[in-house]
Amino acid sequence: MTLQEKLKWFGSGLAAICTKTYHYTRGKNAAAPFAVWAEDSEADSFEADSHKAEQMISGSISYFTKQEFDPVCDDIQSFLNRSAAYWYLSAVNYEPETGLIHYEWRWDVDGNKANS
Amino acid sequence: MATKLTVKGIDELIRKMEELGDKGKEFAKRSLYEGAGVMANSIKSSINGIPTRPEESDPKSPGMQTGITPTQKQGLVDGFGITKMIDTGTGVNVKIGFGGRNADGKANSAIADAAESGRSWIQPTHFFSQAVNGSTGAAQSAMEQEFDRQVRQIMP
Repeated sequence: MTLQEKLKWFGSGLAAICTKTYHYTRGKNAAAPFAVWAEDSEADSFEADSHKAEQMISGSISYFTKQEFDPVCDDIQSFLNRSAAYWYLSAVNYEPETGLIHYEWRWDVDGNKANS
Repeated sequence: MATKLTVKGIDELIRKMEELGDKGKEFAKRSLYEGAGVMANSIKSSINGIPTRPEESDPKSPGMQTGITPTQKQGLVDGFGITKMIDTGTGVNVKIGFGGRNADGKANSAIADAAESGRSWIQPTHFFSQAVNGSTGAAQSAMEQEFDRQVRQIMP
């Protein structure tokens, strides 16, 4: 898979779980719940025969909700199990200013699970 | 068929190994500081790379804002540091992070967290995790080199 194919595959998979899913930045006036995801760097890729045999992309998903124990969080983690080579829940914050709970996951994706 | 392996100077080697055993933890501590220094420098550069915005962010404004204020950035620069060595008994470690408050009275650790992970109205920068990921290899190399250097001093 090319870089863009991986990103489209990953983003469309997330959008299937959370209908209000944004890439890079949230939409103006977006009401919770919504997700924002973004790729931000290359992770540990695999080099072979003097070329990049497998490019690993690193990024994040932020999910904002007002619902305590929101089941979509579990859906996102199931999605990451199916899609990401590596992931972890990097932060959970409550925003007193907005009343939103903010979950953030970091992930590495190589695209190998696209065909599985 | 047989072969013979001869080791000469074994007493001297044993003495040096014993000496290394006594100093091993001290070597590890010095090496850890070398690695922590490499990682800290990377994070410092990353702090400088966080975009700045002129005004305080408004959680009620639509969309997302980018970056932190100059006061907040200065707070991160001033409040960044490495802790003293922590001996856990089974190993040693240091922590790299933020302490204190900035000129606005906000906790630097909270500002760093908001800049790192973002908020519903602030774009995340991941300045910290990217700096850590990007410098882990260099930090490990620095630790290995420092440890080797110290070992060679007693086992040339």
